[in-house]
Amino acid sequence: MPHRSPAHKLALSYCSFLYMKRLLIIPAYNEAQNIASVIDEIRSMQPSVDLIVVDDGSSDATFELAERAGAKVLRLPFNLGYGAAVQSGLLYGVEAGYDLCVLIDGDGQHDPRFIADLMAPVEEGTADLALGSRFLGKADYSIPFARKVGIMLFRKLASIITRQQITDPTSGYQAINRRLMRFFVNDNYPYDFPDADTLIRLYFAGFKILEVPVTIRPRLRGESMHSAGKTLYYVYKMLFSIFIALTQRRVLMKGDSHAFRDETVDGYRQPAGDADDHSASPAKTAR
Amino acid sequence: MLTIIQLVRRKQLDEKYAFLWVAAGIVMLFAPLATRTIDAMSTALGFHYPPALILLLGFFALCLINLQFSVTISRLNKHNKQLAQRFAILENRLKEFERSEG
Repeated sequence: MPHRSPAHKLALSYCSFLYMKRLLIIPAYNEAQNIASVIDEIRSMQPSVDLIVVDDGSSDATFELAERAGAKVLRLPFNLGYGAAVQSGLLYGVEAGYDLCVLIDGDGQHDPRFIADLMAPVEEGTADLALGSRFLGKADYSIPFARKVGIMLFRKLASIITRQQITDPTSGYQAINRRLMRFFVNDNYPYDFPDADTLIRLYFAGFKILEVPVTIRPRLRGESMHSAGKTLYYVYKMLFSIFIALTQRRVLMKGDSHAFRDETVDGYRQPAGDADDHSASPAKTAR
Repeated sequence: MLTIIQLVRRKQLDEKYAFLWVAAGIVMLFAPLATRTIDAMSTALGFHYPPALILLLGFFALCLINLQFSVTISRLNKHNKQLAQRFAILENRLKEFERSEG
């Protein structure tokens, strides 16, 4: 068991009797073919957890089909990118007073069987972020070669910098606690794809990461968003933003994660101003 | 220079973003009056061909203007994202509200 501070123990006992409000965030872009079945499947496995679909400006019927399936939908007026879509869901979650969010892709690749596994360590307080890793689980999928090299490189980098084994930094299947949700809403989330750079940033800010084995299924239908041609840009972006994160190490450590804990856990939009001011840097938000 | 003035008059170009263009334009306009100074500076800096200094300065000015654009675009992009997110959340809340009102 990792070392626990008295404050942490207190938080643990606090959480154990407090009912945690949990939210499933499903980012979806042009997933009309998959979204309804994805929602149904998640519902059947997690009937008690609230669910919100973020339609990232889809040009197909994703929005209508998600609504017809009975889900709440945040509809972005135009396509912002995966990261920004997820961040919209997190912003909604922060404002609506959720304590825990699980991100699960709208394309059916993330098996909802693992939602409970992801939530457990975050609920217990052993991690701020539970990262679903396909490389810890049983592998039954193929990854393009160029992408594999990229993943290998950045998981090595992320593991060295965060001083723990990170096997799948690209994973979008995650559970996040409220403190980290607030950190992400405060301008610490990329527009495109959160990856090793995001993990490094949150590690510097004092958040704890735990990997949980999951299996990723092949897409139900349609094309995946990762294309091989974008690999060069991906490598550049990753290296550059990791470099930026390293230069901001001190700032991130100073604006420590405790600054992202609210005074009030429940209550709709209680923490006035904090969530709206998501342009403020973590250091500025720190008291 | 006239183009810039006309664009600002038609409100197609904001005074704020016209600044660097106006500054560049003024320098270009008055540069011929100071040919001797420019020549002297060029030779002092070791240019064999004096107008090369003007070209170099012009190049720097353009780089600066471009950088200002990139910074502005990044900021606008972020604001755009925040607006879109806020819009989506408000639209959702309005919908929920209307539903609860019947």
